[in-house]
Amino acid sequence: AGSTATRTARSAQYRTSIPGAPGAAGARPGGAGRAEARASRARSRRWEARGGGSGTASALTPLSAPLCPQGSRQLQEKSLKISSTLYVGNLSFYTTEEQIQELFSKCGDVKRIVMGLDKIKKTPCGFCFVEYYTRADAEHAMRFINGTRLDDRIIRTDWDAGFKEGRQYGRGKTGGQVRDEYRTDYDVGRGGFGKIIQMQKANHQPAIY
Amino acid sequence: MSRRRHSDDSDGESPGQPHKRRRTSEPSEIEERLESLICRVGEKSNSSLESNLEGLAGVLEADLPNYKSKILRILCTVARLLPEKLTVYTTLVGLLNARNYNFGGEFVEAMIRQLKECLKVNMYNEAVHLVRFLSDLVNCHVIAAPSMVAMFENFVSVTQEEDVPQVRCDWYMFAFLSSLPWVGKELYEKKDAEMDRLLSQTESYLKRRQKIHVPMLQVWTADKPHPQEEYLDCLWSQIQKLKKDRWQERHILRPYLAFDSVLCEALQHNLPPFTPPPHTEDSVYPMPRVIFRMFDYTDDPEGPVMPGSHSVERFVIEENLHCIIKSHWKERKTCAAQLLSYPGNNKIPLNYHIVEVIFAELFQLPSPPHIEVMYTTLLIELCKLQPGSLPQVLAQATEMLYMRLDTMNTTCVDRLNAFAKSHHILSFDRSDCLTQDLEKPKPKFVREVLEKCMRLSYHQRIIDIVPASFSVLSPANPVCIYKYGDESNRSLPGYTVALCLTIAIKNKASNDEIFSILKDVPNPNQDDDDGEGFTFNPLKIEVFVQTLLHLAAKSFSHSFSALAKFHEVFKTLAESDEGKLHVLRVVYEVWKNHPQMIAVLVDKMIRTQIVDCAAVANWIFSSELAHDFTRFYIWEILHSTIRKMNKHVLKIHKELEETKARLARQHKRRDSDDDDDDDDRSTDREDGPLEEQIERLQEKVESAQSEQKNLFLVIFQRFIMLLTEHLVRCETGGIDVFTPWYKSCIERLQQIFLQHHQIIQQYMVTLENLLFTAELDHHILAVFQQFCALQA
Repeated sequence: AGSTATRTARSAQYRTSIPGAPGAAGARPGGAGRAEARASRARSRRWEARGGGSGTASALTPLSAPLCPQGSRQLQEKSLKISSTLYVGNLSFYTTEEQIQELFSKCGDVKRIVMGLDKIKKTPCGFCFVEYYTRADAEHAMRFINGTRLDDRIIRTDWDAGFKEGRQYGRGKTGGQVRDEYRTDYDVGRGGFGKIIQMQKANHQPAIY
Repeated sequence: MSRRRHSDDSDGESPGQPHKRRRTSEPSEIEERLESLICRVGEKSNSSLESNLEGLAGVLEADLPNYKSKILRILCTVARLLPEKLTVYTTLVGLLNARNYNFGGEFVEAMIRQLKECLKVNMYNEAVHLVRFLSDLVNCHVIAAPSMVAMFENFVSVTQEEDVPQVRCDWYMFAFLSSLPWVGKELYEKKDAEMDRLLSQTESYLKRRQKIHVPMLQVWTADKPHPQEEYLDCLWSQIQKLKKDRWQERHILRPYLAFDSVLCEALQHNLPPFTPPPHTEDSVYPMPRVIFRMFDYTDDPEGPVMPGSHSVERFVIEENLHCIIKSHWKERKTCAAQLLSYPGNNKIPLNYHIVEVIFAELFQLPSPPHIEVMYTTLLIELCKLQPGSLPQVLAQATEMLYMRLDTMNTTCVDRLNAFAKSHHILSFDRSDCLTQDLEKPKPKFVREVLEKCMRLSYHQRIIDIVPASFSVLSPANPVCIYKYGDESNRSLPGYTVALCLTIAIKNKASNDEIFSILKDVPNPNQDDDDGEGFTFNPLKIEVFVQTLLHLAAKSFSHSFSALAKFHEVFKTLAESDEGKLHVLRVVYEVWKNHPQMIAVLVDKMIRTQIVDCAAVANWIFSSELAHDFTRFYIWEILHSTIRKMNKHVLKIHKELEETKARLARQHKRRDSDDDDDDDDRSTDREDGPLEEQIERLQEKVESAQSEQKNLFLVIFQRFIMLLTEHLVRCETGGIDVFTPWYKSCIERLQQIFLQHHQIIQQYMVTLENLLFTAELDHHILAVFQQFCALQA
């Protein structure tokens, strides 16, 4: 619902920026950061499974955690245990910072929100980072916001090692999140069909993989 | 309990799950197994509870020689932390005592020690559970009834103590009365004369104790349909009724009844004489409460009958449900499941009890026992588990709460507002609020809910779903108001500078460049500009803040970046108190349609020290904001400001304590490995930097505490001024004092006292002598007196 014009306007707010705004400066997409982020999410799911949260399994199956050298994995686990930053996934492309602020403020003062952006279009692509001032507040969010609705979608929160410049961009080939490359369902809040399907429809090609 | 010891859930272990850590040594495995067995007894199982208890008693008896202290410790802990399973564990102890008299004696001793410890460290809520456990042990033939009566005699005699706070006597009275549903019958049978005496002493205490605090804690100001009773009064009525019913109590599950023949044979122990620890300066007793009731037997005509408000069953059910929430609140699915599997499901309207207990906690004054958002998610989980019945009860509840908004305490309205989902409120007919003055509670509530809904979605959506007739209640479109935006405004002073600024900022100007542009702005106030241009110049502030906020209007992140990049300019312009106030005024002018933006900007400005807390307090009470004074976002901002101030003081205090500890450790290290002669100079040199740091931190703490006190004084002072003005106006005009504005304002004052009561307690003398003096209008003074009564 809501007019397309309004929603487009809402997502366009991130296209321009004033000097000094996050994302305006040159991004350093760290290769290590990529694997780190995926591993972090896999670890967060294990945190939930152990009863640490009441997390409902996301409908989107996670990619398997890549092999990490043992030492960095331990370091990763340690930093997750003290982190007060959360990764938030399955957002609608049209969900704004204001909405996220309002929802996550229920668990404590929010230190900062970094919207996840399509690397090419610089518009929100369905995830964000929420950082609290205290770990305890972040734990409350994991307990009481994870698995609840925002913009009529069940959102998911995971522990994150901490925002670093560059991590606000999607890592899919077409600029958005990787999951939006491969998924086969039609999701109106996330640009419709997955990117590969969209391309196939454009080229009238059958699925090859 | 490992479940309790880890406050964060990253090691999440619950009793129902096998432990994850693999231990290699056998004894620890056995210990874990024992812990697990004990925790799990009483939960859903294929065998009966009785056979499980019997089996477990056998296992534990066999392990007593090797694991006695561990078993003692586990049992003491479950007694303290799992009160909802009280009778299961007392039965277990009873069975163990029957098999091993010495163990029973040691357990009782351990419990008494634990009780003393709890009282010493102000853990009064847990102490109540221990007292109840001990009293139920009388039913299990572990403790002799006369010795229990003797303990209660000592409890009740606390009411004879002189010069002690009432809340101390209250606690001992509560511990005694609240154990009677479990053990009243047995004690009365054995010692009726003594019990009668205790009860009459109770009655006279309850008659003479003061209850000034009650209005401050009531959720509704009206007594219909359900009176909001003070907790001890309610409990006393329940016990009196129980006595009249000859102590017949049928709700509590008593597994020990099945083992009567075994337990009868057991030898009982006498409780050692128990002297209540004396009152000290550090004693902090629980605050009094008001019992929240919203349902009675008329609310579920088709289901089982809801026990009456003065029945002891009602007390026991509510106690147990509160305990279940306390045990499981961190895990919402488990909590919901545990609540719904409360025994007696078909004899009581459990869904109604659960909903009532949840709202009781949500609306509890001063604060809910747990974080507010938990209750929302808990109710969602409950609805998922009982989709055919619970949503209807919840809908009935929200409807009822909406209907009674007019007399609901403002703080509770805030909480209901935060809780309410739009579809619950809007799916009912709310047209009654259209005919009312917009300041009345119901239309106000609908407006605030719609505003909250907008924050969680977006403006157009609200416009789309709200029927046209309600448009007067819809929130404003949250757009920024830029006074220099239109060409038609070019006659405004500062217009050209605004244009310059806009271009400069777009071209990534530095702070210095901004300063030089602003130099050209005349000061409408002063005749003698000191050349630097850095004294309070409202026009400069206006032009700069308006322009910058307008350029950064796109999102919170943009605005925060703007504040960060031009922090220097802000600090300079807002150096004086008037400057700070004016910055806040301009922020409001720009963003008055977007309260959420105002709130986050004020938060950032405090954290980056562009404005201070006192400035925010003065701004909130300023005449410019009078129009918005009763809106929720204003109080959101004020309480958030106070919380930041409090956290700041705590943080510096903690730093000071940590540094002192470091110095102490340094001394200890030196003393322990110092073989050489004392060299005073080198000692001083080592201590020097740390001692300096401590001195600096002491100063910082003192200055922060003084700032904190000043903040509260400013707030109270402004409240008094505002309320006095209103009261005088009403008196001279001959109109009724109790307007919706007045109710809101006086309750906001109460809210300040309640929400920050621990800090404010420190200022009692100042408040009494300086602000809340006898000359004050009695309406305002009453609030202060109610507050004093809370810990008196």
